Amino acid sequence: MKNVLNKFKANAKKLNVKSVINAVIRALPIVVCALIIAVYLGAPNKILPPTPFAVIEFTNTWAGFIGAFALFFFVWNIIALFFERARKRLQKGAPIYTVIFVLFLLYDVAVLKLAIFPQPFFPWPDAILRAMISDSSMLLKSLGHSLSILLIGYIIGGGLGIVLGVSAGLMARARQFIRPFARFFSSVPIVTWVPIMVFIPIGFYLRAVFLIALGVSVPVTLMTMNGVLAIPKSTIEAARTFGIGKAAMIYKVAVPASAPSIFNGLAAGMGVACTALIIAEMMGVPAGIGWYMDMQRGFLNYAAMYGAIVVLSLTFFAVNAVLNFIKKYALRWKAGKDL
Amino acid sequence: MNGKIEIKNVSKTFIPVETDKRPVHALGLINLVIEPGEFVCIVGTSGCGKSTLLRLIAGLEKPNGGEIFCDGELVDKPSPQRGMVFQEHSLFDWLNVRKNIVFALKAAKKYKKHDTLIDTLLQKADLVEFANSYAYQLSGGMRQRAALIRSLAVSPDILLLDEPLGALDSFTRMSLQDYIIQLWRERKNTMLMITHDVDEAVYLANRIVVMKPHAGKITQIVDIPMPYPRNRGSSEFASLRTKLLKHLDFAKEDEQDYNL
Ligand SMILES: Nc1ncnc2c1ncn2[C@@H]1O[C@H](COP(=O)(O)OP(=O)(O)OP(=O)(O)O)[C@@H](O)[C@H]1O
Ligand SMILES: [Mg+2]
Repeated sequence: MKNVLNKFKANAKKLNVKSVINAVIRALPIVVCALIIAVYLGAPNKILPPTPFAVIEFTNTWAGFIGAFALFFFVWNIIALFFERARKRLQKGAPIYTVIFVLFLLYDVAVLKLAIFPQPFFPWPDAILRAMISDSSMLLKSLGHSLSILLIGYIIGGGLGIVLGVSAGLMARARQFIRPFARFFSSVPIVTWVPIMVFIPIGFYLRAVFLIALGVSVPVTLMTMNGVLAIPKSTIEAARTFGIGKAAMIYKVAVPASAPSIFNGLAAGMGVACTALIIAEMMGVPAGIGWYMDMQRGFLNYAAMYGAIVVLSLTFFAVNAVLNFIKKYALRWKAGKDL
Repeated sequence: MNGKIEIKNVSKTFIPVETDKRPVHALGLINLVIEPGEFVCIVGTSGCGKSTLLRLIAGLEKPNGGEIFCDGELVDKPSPQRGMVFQEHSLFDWLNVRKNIVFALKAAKKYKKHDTLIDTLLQKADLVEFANSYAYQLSGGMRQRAALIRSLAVSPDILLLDEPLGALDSFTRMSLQDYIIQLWRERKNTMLMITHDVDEAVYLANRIVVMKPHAGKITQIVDIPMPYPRNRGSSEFASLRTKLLKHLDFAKEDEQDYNL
């Protein structure tokens, strides 16, 4: 009896300690945000004297920005006290958010407080943020231009890849032609073709779209083909015994059955597309975020260049996240953690 | 009544793509007539051409010689009138159970909206709660039940079953055998089923076709005159099973040594 009671007490204690630790983890992002603000505003700056290229100026923009995050996480923590789902999401995300804010803090300290990076090549977060805000309309315009190239090229390349891949998967004759070409192009990095591309007289915009479509279509073709080839024979034959037509066999059986492979190809293709976009914009297209980035580098406006990098990386992250979201939904019939 | 199968002098040889390999004579001169409403099982050792014969009847493959007629019509391509259930991997993984059946009905051009057929079938297969589940969420037995009712949804005159219970444990197997009998006695369609299990064949079939390896030929046809439902423990059952095993060269009462 006593034993049982002790055990119960021990359990209760353990549970308590665990929930306290969990609550602390959930609050960590706020703590780190507060720390960032305190250090940014409080600790003395040791940054090198002003250069002709960049005026050293400190505003409260950065503090305000981080403060907004602190407020956001504070509200989320409050909600998490009452709602299970919000708590779970916060619990899961808090460690990674904390790490991100710690990285911000470290960078801030390294640049401003310790001045260990040469200026003006490493602008501090406040300067980057201000550059982004002051030039936001240009940034947005450039982003829109880049996204339009990326998406059009991606959709053309992905669609072409699926068509070629399914054909190669279903027909031995088509495979004979498509597979060697796809293998050849997949061995050659997309940058290799850029010098030739520059001579094709279709204008900057179409050239970039073409480069991206080419880059995307290759992995999509190969992986779609492999996916179709791996469909169990009995799945195809079951469909045939119901008297299914040729066209329906393609879009109602071959494509959905090989969807996991197709999505792997599309994910690989997205990586190639992002690379191709940057190459295209840094080597000719006179618009877009890559061009903006390169131009600001030319003007030695490093804060704006960093701002473009931030926007670009977040954009690439976002398009991949959207793709992953679509994939998760489309493959909901599949078991497994690789989703 | 529909569902007659006539197999006349059918042979099948597979010519390998690689020229250095020898052609495989999977079937040599098969003759067999199956009457409408019969339940026929095919037994035989692995590689003797059972699946090949079934695929020829389904129209998934073409014979090199001879002809197959179903209800007087030459078989030259698959048709919803001849349903087929495979050992595994035949449910469409990307569709839930209900949509699998809808797929079959649409492909066979028999789909009607607001039809109670699907619900009736799901009920019969005890899959009502799993109508919206995907294949990976089902047990092996549930998957085969789903594949069975999917094939039956288009009301085929002939149902071809290629070791449909081969991947299941023996309890699930026995209960599905009863389920198959029940479906067959309700619908009175022709059943042609391949099995590796002699007990299963004796339990289910009106007639059992025994095939021998290498030749790809029918060596024996055994009638099973027992009424349904059958008793697995009866002496008649046991003697029929022994008779079949003898035809398959597996009953060696007189020999002491195992033939290893
Ligand atoms: N598509 C094919 N190409 C080449 N050879 C084949 C093909 N299908 C079957 N065979 C050959 O034909 C012979 C008979 O095969 P089949 O699948 O009909 O045997 P089975 O009796 O069903 O065997 P099991 O009981 O193991 O399923 C085998 O030797 C096999 O290798
Ligand atoms: Mg077989």
